Amino acid sequence: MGYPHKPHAKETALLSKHFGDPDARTYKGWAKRGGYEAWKQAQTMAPAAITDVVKESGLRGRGGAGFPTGLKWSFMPKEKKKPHYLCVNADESEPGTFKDREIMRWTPHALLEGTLIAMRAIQAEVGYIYIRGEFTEPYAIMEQALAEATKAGVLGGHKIHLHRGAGAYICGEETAMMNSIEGKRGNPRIKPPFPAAFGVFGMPTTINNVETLAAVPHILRQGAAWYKAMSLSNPKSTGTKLFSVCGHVRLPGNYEVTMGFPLKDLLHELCGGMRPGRTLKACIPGGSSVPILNREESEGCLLDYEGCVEKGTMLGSGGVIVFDDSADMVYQIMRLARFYAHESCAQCTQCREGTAWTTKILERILAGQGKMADLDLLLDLSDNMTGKTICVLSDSCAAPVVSGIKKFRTEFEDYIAGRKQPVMVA
Amino acid sequence: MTTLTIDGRSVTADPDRTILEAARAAGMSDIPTLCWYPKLPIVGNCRICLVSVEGQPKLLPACATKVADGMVVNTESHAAVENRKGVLRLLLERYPADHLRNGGRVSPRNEFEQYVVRYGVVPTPVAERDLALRHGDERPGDPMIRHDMSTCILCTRCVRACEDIQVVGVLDVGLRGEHTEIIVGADGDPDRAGCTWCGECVRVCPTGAIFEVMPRERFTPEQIRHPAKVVRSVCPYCGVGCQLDLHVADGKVARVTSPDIELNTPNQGSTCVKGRFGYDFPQHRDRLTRPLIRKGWSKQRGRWAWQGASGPDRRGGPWRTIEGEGQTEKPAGPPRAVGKSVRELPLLERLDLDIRDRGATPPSWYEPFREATWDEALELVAQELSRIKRERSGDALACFSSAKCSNEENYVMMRMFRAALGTNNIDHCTRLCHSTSVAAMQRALNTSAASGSMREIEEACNVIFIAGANTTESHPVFGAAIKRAHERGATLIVADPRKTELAARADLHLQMQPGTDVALFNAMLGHILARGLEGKRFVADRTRDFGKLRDSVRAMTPEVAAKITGVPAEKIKRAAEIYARGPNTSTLWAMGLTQHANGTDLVTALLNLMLACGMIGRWGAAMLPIRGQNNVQGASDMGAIPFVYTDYRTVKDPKIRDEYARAWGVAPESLSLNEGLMVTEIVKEESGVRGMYIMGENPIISDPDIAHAEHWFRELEFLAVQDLFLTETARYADVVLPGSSFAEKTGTFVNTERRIQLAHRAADLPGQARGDLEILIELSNRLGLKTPHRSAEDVMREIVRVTPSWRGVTYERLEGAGLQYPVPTSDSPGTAFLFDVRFPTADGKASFVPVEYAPPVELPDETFPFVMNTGRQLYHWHTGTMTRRAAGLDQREPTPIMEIHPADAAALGLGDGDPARVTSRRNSLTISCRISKRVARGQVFVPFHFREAAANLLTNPVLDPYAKMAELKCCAVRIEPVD
Repeated sequence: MGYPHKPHAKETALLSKHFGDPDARTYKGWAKRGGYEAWKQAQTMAPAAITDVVKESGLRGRGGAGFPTGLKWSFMPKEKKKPHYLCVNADESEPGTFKDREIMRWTPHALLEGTLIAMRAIQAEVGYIYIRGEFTEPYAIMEQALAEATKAGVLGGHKIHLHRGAGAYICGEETAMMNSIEGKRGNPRIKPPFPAAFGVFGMPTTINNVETLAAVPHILRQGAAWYKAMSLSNPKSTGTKLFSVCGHVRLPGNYEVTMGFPLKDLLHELCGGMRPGRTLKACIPGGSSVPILNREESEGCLLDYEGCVEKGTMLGSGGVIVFDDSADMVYQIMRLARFYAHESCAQCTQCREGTAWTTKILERILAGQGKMADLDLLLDLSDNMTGKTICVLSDSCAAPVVSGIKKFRTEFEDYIAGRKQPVMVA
Repeated sequence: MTTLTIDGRSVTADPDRTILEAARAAGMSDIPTLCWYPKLPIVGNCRICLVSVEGQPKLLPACATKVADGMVVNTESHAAVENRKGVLRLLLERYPADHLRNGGRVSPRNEFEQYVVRYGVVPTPVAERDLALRHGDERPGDPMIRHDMSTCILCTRCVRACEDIQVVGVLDVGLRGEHTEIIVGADGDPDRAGCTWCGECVRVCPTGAIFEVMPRERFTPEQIRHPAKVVRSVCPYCGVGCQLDLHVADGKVARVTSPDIELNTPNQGSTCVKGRFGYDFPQHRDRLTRPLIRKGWSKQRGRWAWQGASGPDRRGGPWRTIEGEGQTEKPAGPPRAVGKSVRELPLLERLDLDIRDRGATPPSWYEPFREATWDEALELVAQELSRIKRERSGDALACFSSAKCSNEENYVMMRMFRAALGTNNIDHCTRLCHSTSVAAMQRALNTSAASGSMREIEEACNVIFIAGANTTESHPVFGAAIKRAHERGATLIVADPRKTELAARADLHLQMQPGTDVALFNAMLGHILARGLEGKRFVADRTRDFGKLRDSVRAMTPEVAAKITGVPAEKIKRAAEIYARGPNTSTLWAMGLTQHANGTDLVTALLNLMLACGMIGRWGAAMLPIRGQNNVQGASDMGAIPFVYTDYRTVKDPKIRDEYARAWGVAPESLSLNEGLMVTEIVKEESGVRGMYIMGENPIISDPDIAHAEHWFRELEFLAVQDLFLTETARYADVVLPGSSFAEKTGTFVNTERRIQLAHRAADLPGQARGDLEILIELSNRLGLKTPHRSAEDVMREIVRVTPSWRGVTYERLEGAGLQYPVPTSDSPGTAFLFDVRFPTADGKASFVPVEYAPPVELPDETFPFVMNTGRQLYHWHTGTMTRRAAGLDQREPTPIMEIHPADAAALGLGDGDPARVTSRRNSLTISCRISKRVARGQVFVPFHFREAAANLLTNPVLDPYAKMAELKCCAVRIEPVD
């Protein structure tokens, strides 16, 4: 449902079906809508059987990396020797992404139900839902929902903690999140060891995204085959996906479509097209961390994991950022770089120094003090920042810079050559 | 084992090794590292060690990637080398590196710059950069450690060293992104964050962003960077026996570093604040450079005669007695200067500059002396010692040897007194240290040293039981190892009347009333027996007299003990159960147990507990009396105690006597068969001692009831003192001989775990000062004892001949980590732990000696309502002779203080820093208060380092019946505010 817009016929409302309906937030209201049926069903199943169903459904992680969820669960030790943990990544901080927020705001019990099922599948007795610090309203709603669910006795001996973030983007990285939960500075950890072997508190841990878990009850109830059938383009990408569209479209918001849906249709039909008199210039389809697409690429892109890769970008978190012809790409890229420079945990040399330096160079170019050699320096720096660090924050900073220079080089050159009025960068 | 290929070479390594470790072990040490450091947790964040691994799409960190079978690693691939250059270039972008732009003339100043030069990375000129230099905590004011954070590369080694090696956690990474910096505590105040100034951060810093101040103040950068030599020595302070590397410039110690962590040294690369920053006392202006003779001695017709005043003024001087100093007004300690500019400092520090040098020798103290030649001084000493022996007897002479001197010096000293002067009146400060432990251990196990090693605490111990030891301040490097063990998961139980750092972090703190340890240990033992938790096999096979013990503890139930000790019965029971269940419990104790008039009983009660649970003779179950001085173990091993020759062989046995007589080339009859007097017996009117030779001890501060001791020393017929400074004792001497400091001598020292270590001479002797060994050898010869030794090594060759358990020791074998004795043969590797099979008793079994609880001699009453405890502070050492002349240390703790509980202080109307008068049945002194919850209510703590408020004016000279230890830890006092 295109909340807060009217539903569109081309949408497939599965997770977003109850967005905008306050009654669905309550335990009673949720139960009335078939809530916790899947959880009851899961409790009768062996953990491995739940994992098998999810594996079979083709569900992949919705947080960005798209790792097959069932496979991830199957990495947990079969024979339980230590406590197992589930961490729910609700630290949705990727610029342009706001789908998990809506899931928690409108259907908190969907998340709780998915969490409980996952906990059973991986044999975890304790789960942490790590909620972004700025999400005050979703937090309050989750807190209320958890209290209701606890009171209703559906938790069945499982313990779920809500953990509030403190405003660091990097804590959305799974290992940084585990450090943060442990009370440490949110620095990503070196992998291996992977969380399934050595996770939070050193115990086997699985980390799943909110949207991923919210899909799980549907899969359990309606079957893997049903879910798997929802695929418009590539059978490796199944089910529905929420896209948070922002930027220069007429109707920004969350849209849920089946995997493989054309980006062009999302922008021009569901979102009502560009603002009047404007044309599409560029689009970032998967949150700020993925390479930028130009107009042609955008209009030919199919929204699933493979479709995006084909166009040289990634599906990421599904945060679609749209630029029309009025956008200043140099400025936009500087804003992105500045975000990463601000959010770098500063462990790795390339990230700490590279993101800051990249930002400074971009600011200099915007201020009219750039040199042609700066573009090579930026590309060189980006190369240095890609694939060398503990986590991918540094890569994320490099991606828009590299694709931006490649696809919109003349805009950079205009500033450098003095053809464009310098911009004051605060 | 795993086989992999590194740069085309096949390498085998343990599967849990990393690529870096495997490469370095194979002698391929070219992978650069910045954030990696031995023993620190691996964080892999500098990213300079990335290498190519076949089949891997990305470069992998060599420091964090485990080896795997068939792995093919290329450490010098194009991608890897380019990445290194990239990392260095990025780091240089915020580093003041203009001096590195000068092409071939570069001279790298540190580890990081060496890589810059190696990879030929040319930094951007500072003026043309996009990014500003890094900054961070750069506050002025500290005398030891300062920061220049523009050179910080954020490798976080300092943070991890502070957190994981020293377990202090003062440093951390603050902020994020480009603003990231190393922060000190939450508010920038290292003191509030608990900094102990150990300098571990200085050690690990690869760029000098965190650096030592003192070398830079005294030496040129060139001298610091390229010292004339670097010499291995042993720290002159506590019994941990840290190995130090002394950097020498200009014949002086310019800087101290610690040897590589990989060497199996007791300190594994760490030091504490004293070891790293307390090395400058030998350069202090007070250092004696010529022998001194008291004015009044003159030579007539070939003989020295006293022409000066007689009677009580004979040894007078223009100084106050220690008793007199005790009455003087004391300034409060200055507030910490760290982080403040001079202008901000309170007036006290700005005007009264002398506050940092109160322990120094006042010029007037030299007035009663004249400078003399060595010939004059030694002639006079030899004449007077011989005269007293002739006129009275050898037993009218006595000597205090020194736990700060080497084994060789102690050996030659005791050889001289026994063979040339015919007396066994030779003792040293062990009497006021672990003599009661030795007495108790001799009685139960016939041993005199620790059974295990410090390393096993960290490696194999499950439960650490510490009684009366403030390890983190008195033995800080070992304290850090205990904290690491605790972090690793060992259970820590601390029995201490004070809430020391370890007590505060302990799983159980048994905060008992001072001197009630026997009740506590007996109750623990009683509970263990009641529950049947004792080590039944061990008790049956390896001990005797268990029945007597069982009966003796029956009445002391935890409930009874709770009334005596003030520790709740439940806690006693829990501690007992944890102790007994182990499975490996180590038992540690120090002065808190030993310095009591019933110290032997206190230690015995603890040994009973240990033996009943079988917690000895295994790796991980160690008996560790923690030795206080760097060679107190060695001085005792060398026979510098009244009852034994080397190796604790009795002086009473004529057969043993014959052996030594032969070795020393003297007639057996010239050696006494009578046991000599102990320190605390010597300093008594009835001892009959009229002449003394003191080497490197300062009994006028360290003896109990100083006012009496000071009087006694003044009444001597003859007193010779061999020391570095004109100490409070030396000022009463007839002859003062300027000796050598630790840095100026070669010799061996034995640490608390029986490790014999070799220290080499590093610095030059100032003026005419001589090596201590040289002085003793010459004096021995002048006294008619043939002493042909020419070096310390010569002496060691004689020592091993007469010391069965050292027979395999040679200087050559001591290089490196040293040897833990027993080393009976030349191929023995030393002994890390003892008693795995039998005890060195006649039947190989240990004995239980039942002891009953007796209250301390002085209990608080209406007139003297407080219990005074004495001990050490982190920054000072014993009588302050050394540390109060070490600039950095003295500034940390320049004035004497008394710790008092806030509630007691409030009741007395005392505020922090207020002066108070403390009075015991013996004497009184004034001192300023430090309000602290470390002491319990009704107790106060006075450190004994300060002559202007010497704690031992007040202490009770009542003695332990076995070891003649004084009751230093517990006396009743009254406290009044001073207007």
